[in-house]
Amino acid sequence: MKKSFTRRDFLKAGGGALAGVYVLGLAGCGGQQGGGGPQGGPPDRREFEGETLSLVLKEGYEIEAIQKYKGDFEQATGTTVEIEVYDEPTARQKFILDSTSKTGAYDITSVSFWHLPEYQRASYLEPLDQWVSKARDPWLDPDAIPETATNVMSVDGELYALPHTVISGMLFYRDDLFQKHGIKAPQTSADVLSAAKVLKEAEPSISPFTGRGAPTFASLGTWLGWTWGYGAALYDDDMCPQATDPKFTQGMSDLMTLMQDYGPEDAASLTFTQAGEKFSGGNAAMMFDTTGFGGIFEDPELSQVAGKVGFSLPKGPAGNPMQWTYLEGLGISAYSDNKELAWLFLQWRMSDETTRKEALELGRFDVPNLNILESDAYAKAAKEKGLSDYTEKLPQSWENITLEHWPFVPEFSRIGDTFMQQVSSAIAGGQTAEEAMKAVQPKLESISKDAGYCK
Amino acid sequence: MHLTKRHYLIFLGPTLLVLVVMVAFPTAYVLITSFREFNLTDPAAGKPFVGFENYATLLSDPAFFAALWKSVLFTVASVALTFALGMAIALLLNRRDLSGTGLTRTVILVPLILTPLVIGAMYRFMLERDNGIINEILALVGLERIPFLANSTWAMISVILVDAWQWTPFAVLVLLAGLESLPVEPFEAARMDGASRWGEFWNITLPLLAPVIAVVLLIRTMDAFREFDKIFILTGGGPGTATQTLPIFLYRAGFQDFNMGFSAATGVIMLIIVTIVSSFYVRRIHAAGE
Repeated sequence: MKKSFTRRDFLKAGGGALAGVYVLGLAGCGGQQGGGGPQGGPPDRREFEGETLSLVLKEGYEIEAIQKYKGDFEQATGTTVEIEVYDEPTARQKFILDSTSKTGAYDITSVSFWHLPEYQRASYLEPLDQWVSKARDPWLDPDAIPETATNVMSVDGELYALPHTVISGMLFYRDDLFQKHGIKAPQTSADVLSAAKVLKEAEPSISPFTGRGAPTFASLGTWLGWTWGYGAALYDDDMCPQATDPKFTQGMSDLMTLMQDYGPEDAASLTFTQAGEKFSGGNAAMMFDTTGFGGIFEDPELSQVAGKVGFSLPKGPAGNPMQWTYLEGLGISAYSDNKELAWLFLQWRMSDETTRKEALELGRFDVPNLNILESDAYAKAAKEKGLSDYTEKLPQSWENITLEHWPFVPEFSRIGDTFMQQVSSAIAGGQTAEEAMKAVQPKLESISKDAGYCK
Repeated sequence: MHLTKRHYLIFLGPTLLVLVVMVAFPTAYVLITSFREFNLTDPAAGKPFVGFENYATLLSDPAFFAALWKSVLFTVASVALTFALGMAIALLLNRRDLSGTGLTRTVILVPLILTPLVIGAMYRFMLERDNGIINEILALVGLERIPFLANSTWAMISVILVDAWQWTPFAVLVLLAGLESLPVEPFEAARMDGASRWGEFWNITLPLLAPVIAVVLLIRTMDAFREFDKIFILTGGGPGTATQTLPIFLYRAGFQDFNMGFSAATGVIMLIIVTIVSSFYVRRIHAAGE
């Protein structure tokens, strides 16, 4: 008797296929945290000959030295270093997805300090204190790294990344225009506002001010750092948001005025690159941002205003120096099978020989190695580039670094995005700072409550 | 040849496997995930089952409704513009008395060939206020520069126009094929009766073309509702949340906050919306076919 293919048969076939896929999927899973801690004593540099190290890095000037000089490490150790470079969100996604799948595809990752609490909570990074104490190679001089930097790259007293970028807040201004119009170099937030007012009339073709307004957490540093000068922080010690606090709102209001009334028309969408291009292209007279821009603005190959830039470390009405706290380092994946080699690489990265070449050959004058900053060769090179004023202010700017104003919690990305979306909307839509802070306060309260803070 | 159940299984097996792997399994996984609290950066918390909590959070979040509104606005505007332009160009290309239509039919495909990411990146530069070519042209003719991507209203207009620019050729292709397949007798009869061009279009062309129009609108609506690449590259959902459509909202929840349960719930809601809208169009197509 002819048997027809019924719906029941179809479902059985589909179910069989589904079960097959499920079993295949299970077979592909696996992985666990990689090899244990340091074996004791500095490793022999040639011990890992033939091995390959995989890095996933965030793009930025700090990785230029790694890309250019990795051959030195490869030669010294007989290993191969493979590097993948992405924009920050993509680099973070790749590292997190690798860590959640526990495959250990990456040995080393870029670590922005603001993601440290998140990574530490998830145990994605190898703690480094034991490596520093038990397996230090002569490449590493821990005393050469600014103490504030290692403190910031630590969570609950445990170090998780060696910092290769230490950035603080700085105001860059067009010294030539200031001198032309008899404006004194801004030392306070009030000076910045009054200079902006003068410049708006005196130089109508140039925006008096520029800064970050893009609606992402990467812009948060500008706004929280500025308001710190007013003695205000977005959160109190219990992680309860205080966006509507009068001091905080006043700080936000002044910066909002600078961005709305004295900033470029597209201020609401400016990322750090775009804001920097406004200044380096001669389209803005002042920029409050990170110290990392100093070398860029004075490089004639990268900037149209080289030789015309002044630098200051302004303070707010509360006497606090304005911040732009950002640190970045290299961390070892908890799932790496090459932790000893990875640790050797981290030490090479921060070595005097690598950072000296980085400063003198690549022109990266804010390299965070105090041995290099105190050297005669560095001082001479800075003078030749016209960066003496900038390099002299660098150590002070690093000492100014504080995290008192910073939401150093795993929920940082969500907080930053939520806050900056409101700020960016306000800049674009002409809202006042008060209105924006009233609108964002309940959203931040919701995030705190979801995370179990602010009880 | 006498086909048995075994033959059917052999022939259908690979297709079934692809369907299960590519469609059913991921959809089921997303659905299950939407009922769990699951954050990739908090593995210690596990993936506890929380029932409809993610949906409750989503449906009480003003940001979700704001994103939904932006999605509706973007979809309706982009689809309407794509259809209107596509129909106008298709009607022109369908005319035998115009020269150069052959070349135009080829050139017009260029936007369709480019990937959305490339289009987004290209227009991001072109629309830039200080250095973009469009603003340079505006300045050249004495007009004020426009912050296309930094002004809330202009940002939404810009993403709609860019999307319409990419997909109008698709509408042209499909509508032109439909126009070319229409019978000539009704048109000849109408002309003999003294009907105007507009009368012909409204009373003959549109009704006969209804199934094709429904297909164009269906595909465009589904595509526009889930458009992500171009908006992400052009504005990132900004300024503020001016262009934060549902796909951008979902991306932020899933790939910036890594809140997989919440973003899965968002995805399921999007699937329900698209299914409801699509079934409306499909019914329309069936009705027109009958």
